[in-house]
Amino acid sequence: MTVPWGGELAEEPVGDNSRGHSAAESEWVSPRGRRQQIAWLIVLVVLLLLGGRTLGVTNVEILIDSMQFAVFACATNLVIGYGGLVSFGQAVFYGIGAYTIGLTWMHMRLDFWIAFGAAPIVAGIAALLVGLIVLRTRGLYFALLTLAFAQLCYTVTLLQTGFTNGSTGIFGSLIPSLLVNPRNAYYFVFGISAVALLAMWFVIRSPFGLTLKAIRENRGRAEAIGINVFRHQLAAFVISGFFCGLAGGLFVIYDNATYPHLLDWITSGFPVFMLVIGGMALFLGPALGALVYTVAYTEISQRTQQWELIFGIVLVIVALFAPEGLGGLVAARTGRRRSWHALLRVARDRYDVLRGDRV
Amino acid sequence: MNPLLVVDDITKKFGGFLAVDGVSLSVDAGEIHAVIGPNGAGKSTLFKLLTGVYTPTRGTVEVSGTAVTGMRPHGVARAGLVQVFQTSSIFPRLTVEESVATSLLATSGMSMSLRRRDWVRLRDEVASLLGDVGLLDEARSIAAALSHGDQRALEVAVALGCRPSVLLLDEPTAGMSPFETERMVALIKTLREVRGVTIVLSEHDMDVVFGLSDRVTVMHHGQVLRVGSPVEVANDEQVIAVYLGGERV
Repeated sequence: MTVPWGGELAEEPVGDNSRGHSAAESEWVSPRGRRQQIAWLIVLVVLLLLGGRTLGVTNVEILIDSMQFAVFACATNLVIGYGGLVSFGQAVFYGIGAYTIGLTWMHMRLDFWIAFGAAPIVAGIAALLVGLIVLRTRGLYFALLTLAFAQLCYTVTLLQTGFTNGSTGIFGSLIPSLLVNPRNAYYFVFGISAVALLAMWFVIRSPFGLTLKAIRENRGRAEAIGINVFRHQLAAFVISGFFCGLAGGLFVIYDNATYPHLLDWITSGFPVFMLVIGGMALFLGPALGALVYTVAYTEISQRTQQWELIFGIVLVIVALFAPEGLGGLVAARTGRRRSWHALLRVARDRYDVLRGDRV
Repeated sequence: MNPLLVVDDITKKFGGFLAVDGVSLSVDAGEIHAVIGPNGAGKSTLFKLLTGVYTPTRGTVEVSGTAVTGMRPHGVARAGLVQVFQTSSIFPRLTVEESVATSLLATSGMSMSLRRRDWVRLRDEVASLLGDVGLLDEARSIAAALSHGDQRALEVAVALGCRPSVLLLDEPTAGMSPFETERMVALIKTLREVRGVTIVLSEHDMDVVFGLSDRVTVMHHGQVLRVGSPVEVANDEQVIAVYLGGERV
């Protein structure tokens, strides 16, 4: 292949397993692979657009839930997967986004559209304030501090009954009548989620995204070549907080309510679960995880109260046998990223093996 | 000639232990200056003091007339003093061209940019740097998959992306095969001749030191034992006794 500067380069990233790193671990995708990804993405978008009209209301609601979780999970992946910062407190910003709409409606009867626009901004400002403190620590201390902030905000929300309605949460006509119709809500959430994911995609592919990945790979080396690590990590934390807040706003459209548990540690664990299931290395891995989580939750919770136990077992199995999630399974199988058709090939092979056509 | 790197009375104390004791150093522009000494002499600590990893107990460091004492490592790098570490220190899952682009972006003040074209624009410069270190054919290889010698060459390319005025090479040939060592020596010469980079290196291979350096500083017990040309140092009785094992080079 001829590169812009005239040299001859390999078609694909070159790598072997001799040092424990395979070509599959690179986030570089060949032009052919990129074209395939775009083609599959267009198919997915068309299917989702048609789904809003053809699917039943229950399935439409499941997809609305999946899409808001996809934004939440991808936003969380900005700090965990790309920034290498294991945060257990992203629910703070998710909850703040939801409560921005709930509280402004309850106390001021503020117009929904203004509140919805303000939700990610308020969450972003909160992320800036929290980030200024927690990013001064590393590793376990960072994870524990984010968790502590999440629990602090959860407790305040729970105890300030006069201001937040406490454990009852905020119910009522939070959203405009236009969005009460699930199909209208579906297309609105779809549009906002698509724009949000696209924006995060541009962040990842930008010089800032590249620098963030370099910091994740080798913090000491990044500092030694003149990168201000704190400033970049803070920016990533704020961008993530912004989109978590947006996801919180989308949750209000889905549920027409806000509750304190939106800020607690269990809610912080949801996107982490989705990252593990879908895989952190692929940009849409967490979105895939969100879809799997929502569908599985709906199906399993109807049959048993012990859905959390089943999810826990699934998490252990994935962590042990497919540590890079469904996306990583595809990459390991094919040796490189080849978008969704690789996932289908893996599924077909598995099916053939199960049928006994292949050993 | 004005010295590009001036180190004055730099000292580092860890508790009661003096790791570096009043070291002064002056390196001219375009010079290759070697720092040698037995293990534990304080060479690596001295490098960490120069690059801001450690804060000195006493003393000052100046690069191109700018005081960098007490600066954070990223500030020192931006002032023009950049280190290549003793052990391989790469960005394992980035490609070779991404690794070099990262340092160019940081140096150009574009690392916070959200416009992809800012880094696409740097591709010519990335290619030029990779050409200098002989890695152009590996531009899209994953850094972790390179051989040890290529990883060290990549580190040099990443450091060059910072457009340094002074490059610190901490044992650049450590763990290398004779072929890789030869290649690294040729690369260091090219850096000085083609790019005009001033180089300070620490090294245990005396053939490399005496074949490359304009001047040599010998350290022992955290202090400077001798400064001079390779010939002067190689024939110094004290240096022969404490470091060269009684043998003349």
